[in-house]
Amino acid sequence: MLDPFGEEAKRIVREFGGIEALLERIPRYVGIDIVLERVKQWEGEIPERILNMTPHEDVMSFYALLGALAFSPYGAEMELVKRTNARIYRERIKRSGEITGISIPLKKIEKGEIPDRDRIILEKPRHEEITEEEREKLKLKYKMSLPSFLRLWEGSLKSVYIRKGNAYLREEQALELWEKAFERNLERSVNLLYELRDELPPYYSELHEKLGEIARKYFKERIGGFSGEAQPLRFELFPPCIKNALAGVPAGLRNYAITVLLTSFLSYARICPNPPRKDVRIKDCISDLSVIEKEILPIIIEAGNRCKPPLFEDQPHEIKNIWYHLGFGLTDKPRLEDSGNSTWYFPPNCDKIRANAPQLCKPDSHCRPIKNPLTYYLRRLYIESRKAGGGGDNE
Amino acid sequence: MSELFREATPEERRLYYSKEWKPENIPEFIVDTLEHREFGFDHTGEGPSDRKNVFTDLRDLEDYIRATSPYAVYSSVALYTEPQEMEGWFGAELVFDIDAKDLPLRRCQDLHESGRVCPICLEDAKELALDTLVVLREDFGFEDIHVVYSGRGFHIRVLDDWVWELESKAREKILAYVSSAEEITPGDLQSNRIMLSSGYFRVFRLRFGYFIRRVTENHLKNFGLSEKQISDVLSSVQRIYRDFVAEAKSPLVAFPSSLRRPPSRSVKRSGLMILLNASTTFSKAYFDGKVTIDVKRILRLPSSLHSKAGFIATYIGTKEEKLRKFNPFEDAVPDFRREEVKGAYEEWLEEHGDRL
Repeated sequence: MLDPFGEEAKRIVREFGGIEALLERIPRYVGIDIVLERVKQWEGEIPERILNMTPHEDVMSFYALLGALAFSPYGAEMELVKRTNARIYRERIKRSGEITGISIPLKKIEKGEIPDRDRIILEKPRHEEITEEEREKLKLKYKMSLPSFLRLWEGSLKSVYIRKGNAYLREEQALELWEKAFERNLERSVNLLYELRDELPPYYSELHEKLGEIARKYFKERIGGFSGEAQPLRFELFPPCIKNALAGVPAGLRNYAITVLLTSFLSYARICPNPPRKDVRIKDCISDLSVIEKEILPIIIEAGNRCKPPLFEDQPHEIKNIWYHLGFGLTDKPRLEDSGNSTWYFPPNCDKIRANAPQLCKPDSHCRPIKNPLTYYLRRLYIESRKAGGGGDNE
Repeated sequence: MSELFREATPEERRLYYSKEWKPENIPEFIVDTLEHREFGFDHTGEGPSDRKNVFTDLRDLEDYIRATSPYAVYSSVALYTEPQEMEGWFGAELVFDIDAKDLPLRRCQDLHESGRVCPICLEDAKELALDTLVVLREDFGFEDIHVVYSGRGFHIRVLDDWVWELESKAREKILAYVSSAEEITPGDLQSNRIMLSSGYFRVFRLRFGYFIRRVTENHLKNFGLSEKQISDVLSSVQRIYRDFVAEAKSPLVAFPSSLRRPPSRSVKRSGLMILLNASTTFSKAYFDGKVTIDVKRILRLPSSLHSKAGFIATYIGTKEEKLRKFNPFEDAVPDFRREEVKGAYEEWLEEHGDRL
């Protein structure tokens, strides 16, 4: 199989009754060690066993990784899975000789579609000094309609032959596009599964832990990368809904925006951006309350003061409610050991925010694949760390 | 002496909007999406400060315009679910704005300073618009393109299904392509890619064609070409245009041989590379890039009065032929200026008509 998001893979996922049903059944069929083999091949030859997996084995072992990534979207684990698996599929595509059945709408070029003179210029068939292998690389083999092409292509349009609404591509360019689409599909799937992570069998959290070990080893040895671990807050990377809540909101929206949304978002983003499980408590993540008292609470209180009317002036008891939402029970004198007296509220999903406080939801371009404000933040951190040359654990 | 362009008085604006302007002259593509567009009004000539207006019924827009006789009327290129808040953006037209008053390379540089407009620079803007239509249709395959005379230039508005959701970055790429904003490298010449019949290099040659027929001795001096190279270029303009632009022949054949060398020992680049990339320096500025990239822009409403210029922002149509035949001094003149513009245009033609 050439693409885990292509037609054949989709058919297999449907056979199982959809992605949730597939993830339920995977633990019965594929051992964790087999899945992990897919991410251990980051250098040297990819073992033939992996390249020659049956489509079903391939889909199950790949989707097992996606299930594990739901526990830490945009962490080093995702980077590891992306890189190693893109390499596997790239190699398969190369070996197959032609790209078909993948997740991007590539078409083969018909004869006579490109004027002879242009073909001679671009493919250099008369240049005898060029080796056969080089000549093959120069051949324009595929085309893609510009609407699809522009969504994926990150380079300039000067470097591509454009004609009648199509971009004409060499094999390497087509593979570059495929890889971009692969990355996006992977992100999208992990975002979908993020919502389901608490219902996944324990197999996936175990797999996630082992992935984390490999990723930490790999990225420590290599170029760094976003770790997905606790770090100081970066306000500029917050999603629009959080920025709007921070700016203060009118009466009727204050309790939701400040007590529910800001409290949960800021606490998880600062203390535990990738919670390992749903019932995590603050005391599992920190050893004293100073980070809450010195960093998180002042931000929440300032935002409350910016509300009209200021939230804590006419509702001073709301402070207790904030501690309640942080998992300390209804109190204004919390101790670390009280953590767990109530549930540490997780940031609501985007659809909940849209329903409860539509005024806060003003999506920007980063919101597109996102279903929860926390994953928005993690994604932006991840992109920033990539921009910084792949290095950049910011802690 | 009557003037071709002059500011309309408040009385003339009232006259135009009460007697001459008809809502039927607003193009269908705007009327059909009326309730999703934001409208902006400039009531004083200081800019569109009256923003975020919405009209769900054309009659309401008509009433508002007739009642206020605004200095200028604008509508958004974007569609929103809540245009009154500019929220719920669900797409924007792809727009190219060619403003004759800002053209960096004009044939009328001796007639007036930059920032003003004359029939020659409007004709130059039209040529750029026509080349742009060719590129948009033949390379991008766009089929739903509308051209509007803005009052001092042209708006090209693309409405094909797939442009609406394009992000600013993609629009920027299309703009760089259409305006041939990327420099040519020696590798592009050696590989003969510069001779391709389609793609970026064809656009480059089109823009170079505009450039070479307007470039002056002073420009060439400023680029650093030698005396000999300058005289060779200026005496071969027709040949360069025919061979390089129209017939896509090799630059080795199309350009004077003196350009193959650098203009002096202290310069590394050949005269040819200097000349080719000088075209790019200009072509980048043919379009107001902000208009293309900004997905929340407002644009002058076709049919409204461009009060500063004293002309009507006129919907031209979808065909090149209509644009070719369009003459703003006949087709975009408000009734209250009809005689005045006719006289001024005849006068202008008598004096400079041979240069059109």
